[in-house]
Amino acid sequence: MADGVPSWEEVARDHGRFLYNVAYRLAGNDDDAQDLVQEALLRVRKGLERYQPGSLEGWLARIVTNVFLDEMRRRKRRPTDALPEDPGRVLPPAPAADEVQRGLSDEIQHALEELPEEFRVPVVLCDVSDLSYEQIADATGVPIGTVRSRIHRGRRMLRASLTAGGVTGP
Amino acid sequence: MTDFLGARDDHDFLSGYLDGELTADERAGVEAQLATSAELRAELADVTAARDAVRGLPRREAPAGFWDAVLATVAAEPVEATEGGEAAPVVALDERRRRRARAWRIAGAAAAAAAVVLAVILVPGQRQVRPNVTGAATQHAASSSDLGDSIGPITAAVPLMRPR
Repeated sequence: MADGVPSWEEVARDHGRFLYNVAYRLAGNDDDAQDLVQEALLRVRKGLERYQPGSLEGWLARIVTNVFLDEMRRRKRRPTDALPEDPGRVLPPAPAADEVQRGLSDEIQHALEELPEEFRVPVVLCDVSDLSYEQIADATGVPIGTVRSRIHRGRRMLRASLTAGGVTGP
Repeated sequence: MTDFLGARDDHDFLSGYLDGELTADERAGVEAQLATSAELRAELADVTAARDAVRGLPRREAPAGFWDAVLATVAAEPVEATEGGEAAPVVALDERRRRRARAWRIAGAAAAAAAVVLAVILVPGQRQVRPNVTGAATQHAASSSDLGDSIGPITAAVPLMRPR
């Protein structure tokens, strides 16, 4: 680490799990999360010289969010261009420890995926990445009042979806 | 006292209240209105439940082998000079996925070869045998370059140990 700026390998080692978790909650599946993390680390490697020491995880969340939104825009332009399955992949997703908890987590993740992106992104950045509204506004490029409104509306939609699915508590 | 909640349809200050994102005045205004409105209290309970549900999600972990593969793939990418902002992606994500899969298989082959060496060293009573590690690794590396191959058959494909 030089002048408070970590190497990209240090970022991957120390913050990779954070990055993966955010990517997974945005994308909703492991294959896409892996692609997002890989692309985010490439951008980290290429952009570290511009990083100003501060909230590293806020910076990483902004990068992975931008990668996610770029990919969503690309897929909307080419709606049939889904990411292909890799025929050589042999490793399954990491299993959850408890089936009941996994079922509940799946319901919540599914409800998250049903949120339109403009609501899902600020909710994930707030409640998964634990960013402040100011950091979310900076990451998404929208005013802080819009962030607050989208988080609130996103949560209301999420709650309605969970209730409709029979999930009455967290 | 600010009457912002009563004048708005979205009630988004409730989430700001929940997240500690309000000023002292705004917070006092919300609390005053919560004290008199069952509807607002119910809405606050709803967004609190949604917030707790997401915050309670377990951390999702990447599958085994992912980090070795992604580090190798990122390290192998050429670094291009860019002007301001984040670097734009130069390769589609699906191509990156294929590159990572190759790195994943290479890492798997290396791990398999290392496992063979460890097995030979650690198994008691077999110190007088010479493992054909180089041959096994070479043969496996050649076979694993085929996309359809997996790392599993290495132990059955070749005689790993032979007597002196």
